[in-house]
Amino acid sequence: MYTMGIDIGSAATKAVVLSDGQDIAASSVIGFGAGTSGAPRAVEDVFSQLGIGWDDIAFTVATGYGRLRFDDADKQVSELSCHALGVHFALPGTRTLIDIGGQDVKVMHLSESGMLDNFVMNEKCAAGTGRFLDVMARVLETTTDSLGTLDAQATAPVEISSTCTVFAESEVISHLSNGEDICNIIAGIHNSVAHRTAGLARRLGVQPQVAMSGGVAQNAGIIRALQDVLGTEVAVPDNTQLMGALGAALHGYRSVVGKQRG
Amino acid sequence: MTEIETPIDERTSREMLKEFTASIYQEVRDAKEAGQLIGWSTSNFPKEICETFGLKLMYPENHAAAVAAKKGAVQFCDKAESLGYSADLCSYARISMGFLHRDEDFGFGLDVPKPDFLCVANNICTTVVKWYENLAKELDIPFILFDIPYNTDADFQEHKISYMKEQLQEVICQFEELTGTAFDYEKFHEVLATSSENARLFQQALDIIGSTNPAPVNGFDGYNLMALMIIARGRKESTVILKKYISELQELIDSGESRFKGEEKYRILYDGITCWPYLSYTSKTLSGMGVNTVASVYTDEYTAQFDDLDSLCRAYASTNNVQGIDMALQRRNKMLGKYQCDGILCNTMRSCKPWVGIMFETERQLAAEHDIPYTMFDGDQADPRVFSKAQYETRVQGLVEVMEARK
Repeated sequence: MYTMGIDIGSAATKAVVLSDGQDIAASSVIGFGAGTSGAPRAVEDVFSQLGIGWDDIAFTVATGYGRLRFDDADKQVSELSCHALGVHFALPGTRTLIDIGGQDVKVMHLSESGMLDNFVMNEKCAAGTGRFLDVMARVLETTTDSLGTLDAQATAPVEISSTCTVFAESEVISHLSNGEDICNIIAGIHNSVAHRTAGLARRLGVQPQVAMSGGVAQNAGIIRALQDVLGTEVAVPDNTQLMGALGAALHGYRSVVGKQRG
Repeated sequence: MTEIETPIDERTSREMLKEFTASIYQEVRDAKEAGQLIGWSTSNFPKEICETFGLKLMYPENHAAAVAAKKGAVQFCDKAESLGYSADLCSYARISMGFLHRDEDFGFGLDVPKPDFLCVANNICTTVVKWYENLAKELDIPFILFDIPYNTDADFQEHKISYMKEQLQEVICQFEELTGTAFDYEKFHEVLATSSENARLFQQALDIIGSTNPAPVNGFDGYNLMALMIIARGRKESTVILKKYISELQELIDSGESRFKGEEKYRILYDGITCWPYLSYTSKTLSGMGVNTVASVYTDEYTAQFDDLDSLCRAYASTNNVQGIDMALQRRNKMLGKYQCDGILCNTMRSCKPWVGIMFETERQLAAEHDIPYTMFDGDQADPRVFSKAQYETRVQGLVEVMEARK
């Protein structure tokens, strides 16, 4: 039995087709989010990988920013619960989960069964989010994907004190004008994001094991900075960007099995 | 539950409320036209004094909320900001200042004349004093201040109550001078009795909604009814409407019906002022997920009862924004327990710092004490530009999912 999870974020769409609640049969990441061609393209991609269509999917759960506008879903579940479920599947001992998305930061507590037990989110501000890192990468004439590698080469990270994306951008430009090494600037940016995220995490309470999911978790510099600030290991599941979609597909599987059991 | 005599009026309480609140604004316009003095007042100034003098008042917070609900906030905030007021100031204040300088009538029955005097009680906000000082200076009119000390303790300090009582005598003298009329203490006690009865009835209505599980109505009803307690607390017409509303609640309970749309799966406490520009949207999003706001810190602001100067001072010293964390916890603990709440939803109002300042710690303690989840969303009471629907939906859904998991 196939169930599908589709995570329509603000910056990208991710889809996972799960086989019998156990194996990822197909997955897709399209770099376009809510309101774009991202969702139909992700669905088409996973269908073509398996040579299947809608009739072969027992249950579809949509999550993410665009979940309420995806008509083909049987159910919409928040990305909070989906990330919790997905990471619990990949890293079962996780109790505190950090997800930095395109436009928000979430810290969640997971129950032993992987259910969302509590959460906090950032204020309505781009500081410390994935979009913040995109903006900084552009200013530094590099790519978001390269930030982790460059962070590892830093020798003396700079201080980025502003929490506003626009002001932080000015601060970065000022460091560039002063001839500061780009790797040190990037490490400073990561430290700044980690401090903001750690503040949220501490508000909720940091219970080990700590894990991080979402696209930003692919940035090793962020993981490095978070571990430094929190003083604890931060685990990252494989296919971390897919955790929301995986959790959604798992939720779909539980829904079908729950119905069958009556 | 106290027996309520069912008033004979074919209209629904909602119809009566709408007509009466519209008439209050009309009374202010008529009074001005007739050459009488009219005032603008903060929402929790002891309006019973003005009522005793027969002075008509308009309430800028209520007015700004009504303007925001009619989608007029941005134009007046813009106007105020173009006059030099910071966008970080209270949106009610910006709407009020912008409205004062409006280029044309706004409509919706909300065009109110300029005041001849101002009544300010800083129990609703410490910075409100600056807003009214600016109005007073700009319009060159009297500014009557009732200074209410902040309560950092778990109970009222007697010296603070004495300070308030002495001020009230001075406030009465200021009104006597303004109107050229002696204060009628007998009438004042009559007004106090009506005001207190209305507060009792409002509390009763809120208690019926909160204590009935599932509730007979959507808790957002309280926000509509609350207008009476702000603009017509000392009026007998309010008594009639409140009694009518309570009788409607009783009818719904007796017939096993509810006006809440859908099944009430979760009961929450709402902390913060409601988002007036998104009132319908925020209400429907909650009810669409089976969430009923059976308790509200905002409506609870207007339930204090009193029958003399001493109890009046204690009542006006018990409003939310003049309470420190000890009293804030007491107020919320009472509602969470009595109304069987499953969670808390907070509006971290961008322009209401006095309220939001202690919100994070207050909610943390409440969640631990009652073992319930809470979430916060960014919004404002009146400025629609600092609210994101997607963010609201995600946080409310997250709260629902946690409440579900804990059931």
